[in-house]
Amino acid sequence: MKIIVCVKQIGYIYDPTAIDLATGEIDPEKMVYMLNPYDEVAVEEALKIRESNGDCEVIAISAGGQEADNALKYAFAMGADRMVRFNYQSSDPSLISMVLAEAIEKIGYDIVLCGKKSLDSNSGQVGSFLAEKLHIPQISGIVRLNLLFNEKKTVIERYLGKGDREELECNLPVLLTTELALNDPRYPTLSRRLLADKVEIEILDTASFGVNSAKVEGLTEVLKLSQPRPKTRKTFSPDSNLSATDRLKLMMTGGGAKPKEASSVLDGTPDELAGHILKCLIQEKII
Amino acid sequence: MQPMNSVKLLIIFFFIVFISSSAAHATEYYSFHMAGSDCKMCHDDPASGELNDTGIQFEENGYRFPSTQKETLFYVLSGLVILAVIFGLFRRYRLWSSGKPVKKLERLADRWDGLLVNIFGQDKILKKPLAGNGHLLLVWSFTLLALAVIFILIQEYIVLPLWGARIINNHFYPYFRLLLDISGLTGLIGTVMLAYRRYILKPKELDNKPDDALSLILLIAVFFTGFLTTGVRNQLYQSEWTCWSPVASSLAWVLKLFVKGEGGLQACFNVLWWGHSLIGLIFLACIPYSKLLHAFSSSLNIFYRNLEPKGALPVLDISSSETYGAGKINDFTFKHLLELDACMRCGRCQENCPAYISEKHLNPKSLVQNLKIHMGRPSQGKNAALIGGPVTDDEIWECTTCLNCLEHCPVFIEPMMKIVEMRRNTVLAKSNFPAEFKQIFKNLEIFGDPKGKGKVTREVWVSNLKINRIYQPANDKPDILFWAGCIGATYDERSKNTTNAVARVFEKAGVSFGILGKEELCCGDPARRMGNEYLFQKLATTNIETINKYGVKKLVTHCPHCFNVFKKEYPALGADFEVVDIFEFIKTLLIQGRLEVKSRIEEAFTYHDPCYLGRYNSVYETPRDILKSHIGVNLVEMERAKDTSFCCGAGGGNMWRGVSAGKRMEGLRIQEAVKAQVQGIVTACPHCDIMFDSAIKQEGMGYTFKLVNLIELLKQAVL
Repeated sequence: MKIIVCVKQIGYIYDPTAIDLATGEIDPEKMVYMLNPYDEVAVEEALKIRESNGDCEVIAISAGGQEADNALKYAFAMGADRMVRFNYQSSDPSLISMVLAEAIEKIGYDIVLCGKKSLDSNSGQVGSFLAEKLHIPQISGIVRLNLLFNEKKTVIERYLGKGDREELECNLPVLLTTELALNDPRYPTLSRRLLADKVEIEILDTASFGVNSAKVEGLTEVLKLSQPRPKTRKTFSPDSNLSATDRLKLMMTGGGAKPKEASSVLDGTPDELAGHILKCLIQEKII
Repeated sequence: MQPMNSVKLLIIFFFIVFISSSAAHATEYYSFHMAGSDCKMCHDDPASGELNDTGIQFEENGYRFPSTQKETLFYVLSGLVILAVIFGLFRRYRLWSSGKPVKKLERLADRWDGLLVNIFGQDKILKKPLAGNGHLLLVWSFTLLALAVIFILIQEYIVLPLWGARIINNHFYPYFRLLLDISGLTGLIGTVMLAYRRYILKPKELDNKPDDALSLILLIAVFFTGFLTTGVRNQLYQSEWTCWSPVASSLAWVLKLFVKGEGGLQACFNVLWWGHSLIGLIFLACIPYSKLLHAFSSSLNIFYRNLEPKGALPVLDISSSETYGAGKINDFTFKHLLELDACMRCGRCQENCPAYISEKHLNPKSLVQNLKIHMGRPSQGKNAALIGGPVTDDEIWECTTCLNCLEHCPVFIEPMMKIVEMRRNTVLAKSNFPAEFKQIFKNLEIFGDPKGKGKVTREVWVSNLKINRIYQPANDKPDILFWAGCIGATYDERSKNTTNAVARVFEKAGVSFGILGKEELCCGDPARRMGNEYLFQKLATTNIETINKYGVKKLVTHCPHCFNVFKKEYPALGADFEVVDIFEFIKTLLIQGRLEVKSRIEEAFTYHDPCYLGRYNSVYETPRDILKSHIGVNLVEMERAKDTSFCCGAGGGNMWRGVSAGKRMEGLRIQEAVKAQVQGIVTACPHCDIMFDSAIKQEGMGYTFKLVNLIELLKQAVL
């Protein structure tokens, strides 16, 4: 079974003032490069599938310039078997998914895993475009994945928001985009990291596929950038029943954190809990 | 088995000679007298010196003593004992050398020096008076007795056959006897002191096992029967020298009250002689199989002790090593395994270990003991993973790398180093560590600081100051680089204020200094102590490149963790700059008058020694000096101060690891500070600040008990 994981090296902006609104330029000092956390979850899930089923090949693939190698190497260090980079640079999700689809078709696949979105552009479109181009079903934002290996089927849970979840069954091949809650990605071991530096990355480019980006136009266009509304800062407000001096003292010391009182949350088997509630009701003279 | 080097060979040779000589000597010495001989065998009248028939025969045919049945039996027994001892020692040696070989030993002069100081001076053991003095007496008496034995052996087997003369002649012999008698007495007193401490005072740190009782009983029995045998022999044969063995003679005199006549005494003597010989032989045979082994293993460990700067972790060669750290017992080095046998469970690490005191799982003493038991297991069990076997996960992560265990071990055992080796393995090879650490590692790797605040936030603390940023090309080259550190530059308002205070103080004194600001990265100390050597080396090499790029010659920092790692661990990676102790630097400024104290702070404070400043770098007096004589603080010491100082609980990654068991270390320390009846606590480390800040609030003393960094206090005094 071949599991394709699409990964992206992102430039994560940690300071809200990094983008110059007038020019759209980004201050490189306020940005760090890393593997997109959603994709990291996707890699981890692929590795989990391989661990529980065996006989799987996990292929990390990325479209981008040389900088994308770092993301691939990290995925390899985590445990992926192969690294493939499509040498193609674009910020348009439809174009990226087009070249990825070409490459994935060539490699062959059973499951394609993508991050739900990337933390830099936040568009969340590559997965959907890719499924469209591969002509396979897509399930987005999955939080649990159960692969029925022999039946070539997957059972999936996905978020519907407000705590609701939906369980779906789908035949392979399928494209899944991952939510962060899906799993807890592993930290690469040192030997894998060193190996990742030695193993060669398979490079594909437009020439070998006959993809001509000039022929295809991108489907997205950036119209305007704007700063997010600043978050309201939470300030400490002491209990207004206290005297002014006490309030002042509390504010100066950052709040007089008192040791927590014994919790009234009970724990135990249903029988015990029912007993507790009953006792409580009797104590309070409700019954 | 690895080939032995000459030093090892020499030491082992010495042991064997020592052991065999004791037995052989005992044979010779006592069998000689057993036959009822003594001087009267060859001289009818020893005073005149005339030889009788036996004497003449000896003179003509050489020194031959007709062997008796008893003697033969004794020789056979001694031979067996020697074999048992050699076998036992060899077995232990083979266990030690199953570890990785150690590097070639260097600085041999220092090693011998330390060996002598720690064996005959009992330097570190004497920190505890009763146990230390008891042990000192025992060591000296044993050494003297052993030397006497060797001396007699040389005389009887070398000097006498070759030159036909005795060194210990009649003229000298009485003093010799007296010396041995006194040695025996001091040894007995020492043993009794140790037994008294162990079984009557019962200190908490000692756990009593049959092994301890056996050793003490054997020691007392050897000394006691030795005295009685000598005493009774004196009574029987050597009455003119009785007064030269006062202790032995007095004991024999007491014995004589219960025994009737010469015949009874002779019978007593026979029993005592065999008793003493057998106990002595059992004692020797027990050495490699009981805690008595420590006479050799601990001495050897002192000789092999780590002479690197205190607490500096060894560099792991990432590119060429196949295993990282210690996952199996054999991944430890020879030295580490030798340490396991050198441990005598004295419990000094345990009583000082903050993790143990705060009722967590870790106890350095039992950690070492468990590893020792594991080392002795058959080979199948030995290849099992350490974590989950003799060591638990909690144990290795609870260590705050405070160095108390290394500081207080009398025989230079380093439990912390083993913990870090095991951490290295579990982090680098297995990626198995507390969940909280993953984000820290990633932040360190991606952002260069543990909280992931990013490099632009590293200059926020500068705010209103005009500070020379080294990387701005137009600026003059400053004399000294001030390293703010991650905690100091980014963590919270308090720590940023402290960093600011350092700069203000320097500015006031007119120190020409610069900062790296955005180009600083974490020094790597947290990553290294958490076992991520890869990350440490990555950060450290980048930092060294940056520092070299600006041609920095001197570096000063107010963070003890950065200070320690720059001073002791960067040189191994090729750093070449001087690291200045900030308090020494400030003290010089104060003395030179470049800083002037304008308002003395006449308040009562206590001072908390940060681990990485105090124990790691022995900076105890300078901060106290600044506080007391320059700022005018009324300094009250806490119960644990200086080298026994408690840990704030932040080290070794525990700042980011939730408290899983036991009490909070920082809380215990604050309670201790409150007990000292002071207005507040002075710290000298940004990590301690953070920990105590939360502890004080948790204790509900947010506005009654002050927490202040020494630098802040200084700023108040000089500005």
